[in-house]
Amino acid sequence: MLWRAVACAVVVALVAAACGAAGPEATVAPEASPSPGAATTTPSPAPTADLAENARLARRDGVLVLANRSDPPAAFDPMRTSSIALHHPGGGLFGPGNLVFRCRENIYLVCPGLASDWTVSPDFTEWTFTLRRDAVWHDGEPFTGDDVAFWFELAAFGIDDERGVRAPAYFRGDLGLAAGETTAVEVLPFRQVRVRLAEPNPHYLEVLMNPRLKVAHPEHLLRPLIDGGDLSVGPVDVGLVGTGPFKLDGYEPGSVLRLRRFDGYWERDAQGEALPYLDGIDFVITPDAAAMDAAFRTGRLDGGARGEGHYLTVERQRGYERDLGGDVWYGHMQGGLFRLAFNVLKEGPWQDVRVRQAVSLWIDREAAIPGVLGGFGYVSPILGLTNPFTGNDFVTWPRFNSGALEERRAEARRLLEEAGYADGFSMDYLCRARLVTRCEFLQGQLAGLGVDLELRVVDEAEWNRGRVSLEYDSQPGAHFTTPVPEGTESVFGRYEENPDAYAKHDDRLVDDFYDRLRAARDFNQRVRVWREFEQYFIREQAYVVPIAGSVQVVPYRAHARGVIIPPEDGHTHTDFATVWLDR
Amino acid sequence: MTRYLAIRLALFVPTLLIASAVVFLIMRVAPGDVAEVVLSGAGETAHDVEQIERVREELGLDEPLAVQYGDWLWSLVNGDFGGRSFVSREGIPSIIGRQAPVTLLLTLYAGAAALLVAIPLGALAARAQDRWPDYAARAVSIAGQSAPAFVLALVVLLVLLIVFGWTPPLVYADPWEDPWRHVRITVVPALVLGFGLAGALVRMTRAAVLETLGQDYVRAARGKGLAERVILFRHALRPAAIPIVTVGALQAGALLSGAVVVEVVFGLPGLGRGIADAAAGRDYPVVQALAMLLVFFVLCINLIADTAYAVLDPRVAYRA
Repeated sequence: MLWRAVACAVVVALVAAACGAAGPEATVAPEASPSPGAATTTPSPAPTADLAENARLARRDGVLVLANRSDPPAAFDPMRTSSIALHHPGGGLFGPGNLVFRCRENIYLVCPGLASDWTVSPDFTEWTFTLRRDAVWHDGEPFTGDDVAFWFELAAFGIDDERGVRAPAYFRGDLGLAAGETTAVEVLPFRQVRVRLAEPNPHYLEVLMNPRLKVAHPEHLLRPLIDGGDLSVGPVDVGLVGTGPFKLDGYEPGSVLRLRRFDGYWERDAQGEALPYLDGIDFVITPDAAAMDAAFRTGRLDGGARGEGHYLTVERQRGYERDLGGDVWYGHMQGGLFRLAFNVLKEGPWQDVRVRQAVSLWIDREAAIPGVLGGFGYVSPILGLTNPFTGNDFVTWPRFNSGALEERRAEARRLLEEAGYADGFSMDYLCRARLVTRCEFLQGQLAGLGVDLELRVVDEAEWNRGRVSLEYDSQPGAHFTTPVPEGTESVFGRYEENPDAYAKHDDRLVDDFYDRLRAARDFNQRVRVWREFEQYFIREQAYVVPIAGSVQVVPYRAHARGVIIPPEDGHTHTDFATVWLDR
Repeated sequence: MTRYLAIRLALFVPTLLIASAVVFLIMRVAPGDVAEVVLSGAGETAHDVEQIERVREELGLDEPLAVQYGDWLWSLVNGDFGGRSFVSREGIPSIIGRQAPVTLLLTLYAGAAALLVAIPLGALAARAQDRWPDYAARAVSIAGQSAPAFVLALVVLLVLLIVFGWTPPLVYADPWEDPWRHVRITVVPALVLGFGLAGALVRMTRAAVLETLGQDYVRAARGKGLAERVILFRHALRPAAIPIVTVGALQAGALLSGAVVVEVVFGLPGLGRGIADAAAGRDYPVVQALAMLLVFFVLCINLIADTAYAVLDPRVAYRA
């Protein structure tokens, strides 16, 4: 069948990319970087893999018109939200990262950003960054150590004093600063900044290079407002002044966000020419995916929006191909997993590991790809297929997805019977209304095992509340933000420490795994611990039942060249600095 | 008449107060929490309970409900109109100033298109009762009433794309800034929105005109030798206008709710889309303020309809 062919092609492309040769060297390979140096290139047909060639061909003009899923929420504040509706245009405004960012050629490597280099103390608790001289804010003010200290402290601690309360950033835990430590970030002479961590972290740069951690808070503009009593002030209140390759030209809420080239941007291409190439980018707010499709197919857009609901399905892509043929190309990125996670802290049959394993064995994962993922998807335990920490051996794991479906299902029935639930049981499932087809798929699948999955369909607001509560028997869980093992504790760790964990459990062995990961000093050691953890958590305990990951497909017109499509995590490289128009 | 109007206007106050309490309570009873929405964006972020509590405190959501309600009512009358959005931090007067003209113009165009088409069509259908023009008009009106706006909007968009290879522009422009782009972006959504209203008006006009065509004074007019066109439009249509105005006023509310879907599909940054986005994000101040504005609009439309009765039919008298 066609969907199988398409799904297989995508999976093969992703695996091939993961196993292929490394991309071109990063412009600078910092010595202190503990990155694994994993081999991967983009699996998409994006005509951009070779940045040197791209730099040779690039032309400097034109305005790129892209769809954006909605108005950027939370006052454009990356400290408040990871919504792709902010981070799609946010890359251009605020840059692709912070002091460091994911390399353009290989997102699993660390590249210098607003810091040109760095050193780390032998115990991995003090990281000293040297800021680049040529980084400036869009209003012409230089980017300084005071900006770095202001950003770190605002994000890690917020404000809580006689003036009132300002919540810290949602990613404050990733920053690793000790609470109440007044010298956590120290501004040193010679454009240096020292960050002192609460605990040793040899992999700190990999956490810091998360593209969601954007510096959008100029100290010289925000501090006076905060000192004046407006603690909730955000980037939108000071004109969205960033350090990215594009600056704000105009924003008409509900209509369009216009960015134009910032001539003071610091980054250069392989030819030594200043980036960006484009004159500007218009992000058109298109909340309706069908309307976006229609506009793209009539030539009103150069590229689609990123975000669930707007990524293409096989059916929608056929419409594009019918109308536009070879005049369009498709960026493929591995996205979040569709899963079922148990609330083991709530009484019920799912507290028995055999029941959880039975559920895991029963589900036909491949059927989910055409059924609920729009025809683009893959099966993987936790991280993406191209992620260097993902081993390919999971396909042979017993009690995961190996062998014939009939055999797995017979084993599932046996386990359920052994656990004393031969007649099945009832379990509720927190279901996001916007992803209701996934819930119905699970309901239909588990009915065959005798599990009556009662769907609790909720809107986004209740989803945000319910998923951190202990009220529901099971749920799909949110996305995790960092595709490195240490970044997954917030979603796989114990509930007491991690309320947003998918599975609500109190298994202290999981703490041990994360402690071992943090203590690991080299890449191979990390891989070993991570793969042990995967087997324990997914196969042996089945706290979480991974079903299938979506492959997110974004359309671009053929004349949009130089777009960097990351192999996973669509928040990456949304600055479009290397894009040019070949009209 | 003046006294009647004064009393009706005074009655706005308790009506608005009751509506404000209902809107306020519905937002609080609805599951979900704006603090979590602010922190989570599209639900892609891990966060902890302490952070949520701090954002709630920052937004003033930790105050007792009565205090929150009182503060909000006060801000409605002191010019703040509810303060500013929890999510975007934009002031609500600014949001209204930006969104209301879009929706008002859209509904105005939709209403005008519906009236221009529906009333003559309904009258002609009555005149040609049980003949093909009548059947055609009834078929169109039933389609208009039964086709949901979200289906019709998408179908029209796809037809434009497939048949004409054209879609409306994506970026809205005010009529005084770029009239041509304004026309191109609003004409299709206005027609889609007006189609439902036209359906109801055609049916009501047809029924009302049929009734008046059977009256003695119409027979007398025919006996005097008046032209059929004059009888229809001057003598039959005007007495039939009262039920048409009633239905039109009732449909105005539906027109505003239909604007939600049409604005989303056609990318118009109006009140309908604004209130839908704000409700999904539990942006209490914005939902409450926009809902109150819509309540106020509907009250005004009903008042205009009530006073229009006396203009249309001199026999109608108002007593306070």
